[in-house]
Amino acid sequence: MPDFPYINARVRAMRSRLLDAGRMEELLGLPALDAFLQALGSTPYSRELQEALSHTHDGVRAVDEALARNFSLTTSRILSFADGKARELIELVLTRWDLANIRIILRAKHAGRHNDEILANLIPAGRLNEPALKEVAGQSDVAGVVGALGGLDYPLALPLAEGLAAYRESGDLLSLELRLERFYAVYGLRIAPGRGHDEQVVRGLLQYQLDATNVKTAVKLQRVESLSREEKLKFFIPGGRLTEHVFLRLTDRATAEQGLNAVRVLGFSVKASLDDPVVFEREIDVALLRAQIDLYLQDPLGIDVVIAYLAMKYNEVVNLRLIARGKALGIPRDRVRKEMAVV
Amino acid sequence: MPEAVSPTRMNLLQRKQQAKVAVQGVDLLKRKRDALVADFFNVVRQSLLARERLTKACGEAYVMLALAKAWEGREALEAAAMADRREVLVDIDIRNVWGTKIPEVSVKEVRRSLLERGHNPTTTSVRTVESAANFEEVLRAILEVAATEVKLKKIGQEIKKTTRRVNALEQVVIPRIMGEIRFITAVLEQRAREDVFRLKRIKAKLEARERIS
Repeated sequence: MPDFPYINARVRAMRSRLLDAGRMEELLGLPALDAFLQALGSTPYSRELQEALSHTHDGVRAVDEALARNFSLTTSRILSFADGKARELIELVLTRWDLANIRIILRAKHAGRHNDEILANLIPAGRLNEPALKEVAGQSDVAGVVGALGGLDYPLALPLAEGLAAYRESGDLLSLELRLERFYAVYGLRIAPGRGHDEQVVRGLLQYQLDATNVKTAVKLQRVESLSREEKLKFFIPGGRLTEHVFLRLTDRATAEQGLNAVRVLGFSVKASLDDPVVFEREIDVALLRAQIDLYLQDPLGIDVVIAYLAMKYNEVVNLRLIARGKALGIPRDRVRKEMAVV
Repeated sequence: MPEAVSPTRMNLLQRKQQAKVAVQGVDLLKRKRDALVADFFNVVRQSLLARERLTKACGEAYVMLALAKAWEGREALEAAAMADRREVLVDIDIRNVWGTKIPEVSVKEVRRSLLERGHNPTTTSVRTVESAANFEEVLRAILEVAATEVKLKKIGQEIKKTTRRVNALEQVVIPRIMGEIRFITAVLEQRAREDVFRLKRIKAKLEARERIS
């Protein structure tokens, strides 16, 4: 039985520690990176920042590490409140970070990178915690990584194990990654199949994420010349509400506007033109973020609050990373503000 | 050291020939230097433009990279960068300017499409794609700068070498030959005068001997 009333009470308390818009604007108004680091020292990121600054002199790197560490601790704390189905659903929401970590490890092994380089780039925010990621990243090659994930009884090891023989033959990592993405969708929808509120919310979120991914993929494929219908569909991840037909329309410049109308029907209030893919993608990301944050005001006894909090927290992390880089590179304040997603 | 030269008519002719060749050489080298200087200034203009393009490309690329890193996280960017590595090939042709071999480096297309970079379109954001494209532009600009600066260096070295040769001919070789010519001429003239004097003395002695007999 999901114990969301208790989890949500704890999460609401954690939410009160998020930086508000005024504080964010204050940080944005600081003159330089040093001032920003000093100001960040008086926020909940203080401890992680001090730790990061103790082993690196690169301010932006320290901010990145501190934010990643804080986010990782936050997700661990939320998971520690939960058990049973509630934990399973929260873990499913956090699987996108596991996916990102696995992708980084696979690419690093494919490129023959050193372990230290890999570990510095991981955010242990999902089911794969720090020791598990160390174990996986410590393998010598892609086959070793797949074996280690299988040894940990991690569900996403299955598609990798199935695709390993083909990877060994062709060295085609992209196919292996696509297999992983497709399996994630199937797995997620299988974990949350029921009619209960929480499962419906998680399923809805997963479908919305899949739709967002497919829309963004289609827009990117517009710029790749001479792709056949089959080649385009290779990048379509089924499971969302967006159909293959709409996806194909979006991949073609001539029919993209019609496809875009179908996307708007799905709830993505996109105003930007497809000619500017950066702005377009940002609008899709913001729509996804807004959809998650809006859940905070939905069922107070469901998973909604956790999903919304995680989105708010990660949004805060992204905004702080933007401010840090803005200060380090001297990017004009207005440009940084424009990039920040304030929902 | 003009004194070390044997003051013979043969040497005089040789030195005159050498002086003629040296003057012609100076003229040729000066013309070569002028051509190289003209080329140098053309390349300087190209180099300045290439530098400008590089600065602009870097400015845009680093800002986009910073924004992409902030949005996607350093992790995702690093992962995208690991996807594919490649060698960038350039064509090098040798152009002959007044006997100087100058390398012409031509840059092939360095921009690649999303799939050519090995990026996964389902997980790589547009910001990352744009960032990669911007850095390919930076790479092209770097290759252009490198190509023009290699040319500049080579032409500069050649101008320096030619100027040194012109100076050596004008300041050392030609003055030395002219000195030797003057020395030989002076010695030969002196000899001619001595011969005339000697012949006059002999003639005077012969005339005196005739008068006595």
